Amino acid sequence: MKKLSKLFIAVIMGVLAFFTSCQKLDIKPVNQLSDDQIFGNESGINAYLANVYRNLPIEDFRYGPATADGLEPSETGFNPKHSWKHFYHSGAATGEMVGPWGGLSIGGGFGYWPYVDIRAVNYFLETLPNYSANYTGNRVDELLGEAHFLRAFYYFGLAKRYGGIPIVKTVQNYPQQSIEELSVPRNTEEDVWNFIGDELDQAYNMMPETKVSGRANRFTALALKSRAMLYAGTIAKYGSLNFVEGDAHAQGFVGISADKAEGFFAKSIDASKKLEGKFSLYEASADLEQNYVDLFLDGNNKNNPEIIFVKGYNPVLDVQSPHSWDATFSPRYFTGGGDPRSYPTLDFVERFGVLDVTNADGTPRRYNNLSEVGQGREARLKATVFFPGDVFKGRAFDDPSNTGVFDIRRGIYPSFTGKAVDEAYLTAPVSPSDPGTARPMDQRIGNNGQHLQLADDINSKYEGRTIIGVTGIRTGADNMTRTGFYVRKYINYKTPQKQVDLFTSSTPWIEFRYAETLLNRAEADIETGQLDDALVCLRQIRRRAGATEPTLADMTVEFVRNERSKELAFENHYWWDIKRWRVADSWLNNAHFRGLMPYYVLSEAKYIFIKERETFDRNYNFEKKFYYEPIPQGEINKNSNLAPQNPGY
Amino acid sequence: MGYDGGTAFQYLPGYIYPTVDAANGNVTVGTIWDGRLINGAVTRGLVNEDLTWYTSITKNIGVDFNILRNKLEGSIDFFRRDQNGLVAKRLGQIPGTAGISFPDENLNSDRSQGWEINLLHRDRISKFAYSVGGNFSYARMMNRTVVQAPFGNAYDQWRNGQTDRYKNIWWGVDYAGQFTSYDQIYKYEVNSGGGNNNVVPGDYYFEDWNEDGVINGDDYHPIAVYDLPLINFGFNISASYKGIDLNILFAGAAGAYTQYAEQYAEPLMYGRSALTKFLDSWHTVNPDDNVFDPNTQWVQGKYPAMGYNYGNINNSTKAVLDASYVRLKTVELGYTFSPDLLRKVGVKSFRMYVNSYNLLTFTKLEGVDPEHPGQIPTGDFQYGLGGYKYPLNRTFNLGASITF
Repeated sequence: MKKLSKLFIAVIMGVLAFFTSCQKLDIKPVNQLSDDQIFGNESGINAYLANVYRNLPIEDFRYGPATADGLEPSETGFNPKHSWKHFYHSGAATGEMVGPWGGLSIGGGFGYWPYVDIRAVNYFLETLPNYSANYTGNRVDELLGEAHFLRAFYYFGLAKRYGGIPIVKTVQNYPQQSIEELSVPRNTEEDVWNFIGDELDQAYNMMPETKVSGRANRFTALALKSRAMLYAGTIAKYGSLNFVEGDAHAQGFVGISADKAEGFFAKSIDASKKLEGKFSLYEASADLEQNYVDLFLDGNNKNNPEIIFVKGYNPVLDVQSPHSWDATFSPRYFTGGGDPRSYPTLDFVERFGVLDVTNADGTPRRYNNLSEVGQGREARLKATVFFPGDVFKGRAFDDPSNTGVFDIRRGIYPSFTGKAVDEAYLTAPVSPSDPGTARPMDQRIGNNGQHLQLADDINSKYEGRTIIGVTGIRTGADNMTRTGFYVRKYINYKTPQKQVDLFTSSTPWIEFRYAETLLNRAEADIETGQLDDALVCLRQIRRRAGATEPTLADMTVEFVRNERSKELAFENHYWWDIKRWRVADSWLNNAHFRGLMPYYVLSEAKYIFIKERETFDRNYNFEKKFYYEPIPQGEINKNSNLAPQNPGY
Repeated sequence: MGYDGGTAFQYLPGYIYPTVDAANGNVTVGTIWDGRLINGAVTRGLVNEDLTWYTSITKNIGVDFNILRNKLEGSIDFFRRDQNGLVAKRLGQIPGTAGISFPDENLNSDRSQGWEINLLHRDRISKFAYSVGGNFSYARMMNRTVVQAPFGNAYDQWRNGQTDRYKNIWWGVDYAGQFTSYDQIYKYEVNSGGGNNNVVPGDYYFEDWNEDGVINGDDYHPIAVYDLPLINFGFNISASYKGIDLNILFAGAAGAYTQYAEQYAEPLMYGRSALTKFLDSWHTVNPDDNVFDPNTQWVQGKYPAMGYNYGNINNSTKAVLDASYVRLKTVELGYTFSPDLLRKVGVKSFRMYVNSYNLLTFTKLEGVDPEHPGQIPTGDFQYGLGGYKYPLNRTFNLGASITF
């Protein structure tokens, strides 16, 4: 019996060993997909494209334009998920706002070099046709068109930074190709912009009209073309007048000859016009101010007629996917966490018209209350920035006694006499580039020898009154306004206060909206003398904005640029606009920006507003070489054919 | 023999799905379409389908002997272990425009080699029996192939090259002396930093090894080795005469170096107090004398004046100390009573002994234990001698073992 059982066990063991040896030990990991799984069906394609879309150079809320002034490399560039420091905004380095940038710290960029993503698109273009049997109709062409759009978007992100860069249209491999073969040279800037235009034409011709929020369709290709060709046109026109000499310029790697401008403008206009009738401005409410506020909060609405392309955020699944715009552009008094550090400048606000806060004799006008200063301003301006005295309407505050008033003061004058400009300046400012000499706070003269009351603490009081107000201008910290204004665009008033914190905002970013296309068209029109068509566009823009009707005589380059700066404020356009207009070196030449500082005059029980240097007292200077960023030196080290470096670096 | 290495499944091409963005807080990779998260698939990029285990070849030649009728026995051993195919990445020579980077490959190799001698002599002269033995070993590791970026110049290659070079070389400068007078400082032609403007009597100075008139990183050359000692040895004596037995064990190491750290290296570290040894510092006759005034009188001391930047001497032969030592690890003296005597009192065996562990240490180091002296130059606690550890205890025992 004992022997039998031993035999039995031996047989069982042998059988087991036989079967297990048939099992392959070589088991593939389950979280890996093959080409067949990716390209063989629509959901594989979606997964593949999801990563390509994720990395698109969309300068959204989270975009970090440069590594400087406390912004780490990991918080720089596109899609820096971990970043909440949205106040490192490109507008805050250029005078739209002032903020944490020490000046113009974003000139050198962050070494954007997205060829990994471009390779992913090229691989898609080469591989998908092998699986065409899996798809019906012209689906493969539609997807290929989408890839052309994506590739154009990446090249657009490169071209506007570096000018000419290598155009890589095929999948490169190593070691099948030698390092020498892979060391591709730069294409000329003109070639790159033409390539972008051609890619977008292909995309437009092949893509469907299908509306999927966050996914491009043929109209998205048009919107990008409208923008890109306008960039190319202005670079050709103004870059040939204002440039830095160097080998890269002489060889056409940066700069386009002026005679090409016309052609690019025409392409831009053509693309913009094709969008006419397909989209229109958002005019959901008769209250123009509310309408303009809601436009930016209505990004998830597929029926929002203005939206051409949005980038969405995931509010639930992943704590870091949402952005932090609401928490980092409003004072803590109105939020549940976070702090702001960037504030719109008076210079930006006065693009909408000079604020008449001074009497004819130069003395500050007296106001009975704060909110009077913002009354009667253009609806679009009031929807873009919060003025002193404005009310944060709609938000449910934790503290029921919170009235939501932007109670902003810089200080209290026991009494005040004299002229506003003398109070703020030793020598008066003429323009941002001729900013005068600010008068230090301890040399103020209007206070009649009495102490001008300033404070760092919102609870500090003078004669029973808080000195700076709950959202006012601190003498020390920069987490309350330094200009008298706060950003309103994209601030979601519907979110209850306790839910407003870092990583809680999921308002979509509107990358392309019809208003931009109209402005692109108007600008290209004016550059090419088509003033009637420009007027058609700007009329729509200004009517919706609550601004006065423009006339044909208004159709100047200056006018359309100003209109663009107002309409697209804080949307990360301004930096690129002042670059492609080649005006940055004169506009940001020893530039200082101003704020509108409210003071309470105790003896009169009135408010006065003085236009003063913003309290960071930043100095902005733009070096001409910044019109192009330097090709990343590490890439030149790997590929000497990328030389010459852009001029000035 | 072979060993596993490299990233898991590095040899498989394809896509990771779903996945997270490790560089950005492990956020799920994906995009939002129509308000829904679409998980993204991320390519693995270029993979090396030939990635394999690395191989290790160990060679050993040895002689064991036993001669003079068991009076002398011993062994001599030479060993070498060559590891080939260590996993590394080729350096970034693929232009970025290709959008790929080198995968892991079996590229590097290294070697450990050394030798070992054991000798034991045993004999008996009438009732006196003794044995004397010793062992001595030497081992060193070197890199054989290391993928490195091309060197900019010959100096760079000499300074940073790893290929066919010993591991754990300690680079530094040679200590040359201590300034004793202002006059000496004025006439000193080598710039020790800042044009010697802050140098005062008592400060250390260094050899201008490359003779360029400046003391800086260019003067670095191999001055020592770090990590474990190159040479370990031991020495054992045992003897017995009638009931008395004696056992002595020495152990030691050579070719080991260390550098004092923190409070032991400099006074007032971290703004805290100082060890009393630093009382023997250079100082001015009057505490409030101007140290830069050439007429100031100084009192000599062993250490530089307070305020000296001890960071200057890091990685110099002043700070890097020879940590060789010989230690009397064990000494034990015992007496065993004769069994005949014991039988009468009903005891089977009775031995009394006295011993001490860690009784004596011969080393140039002060205040720290040479077996783990602490600091190594990279501050990396993973090295054998690194880290803070308590010194070994010295113990004495007096005892007896009795069997009934």
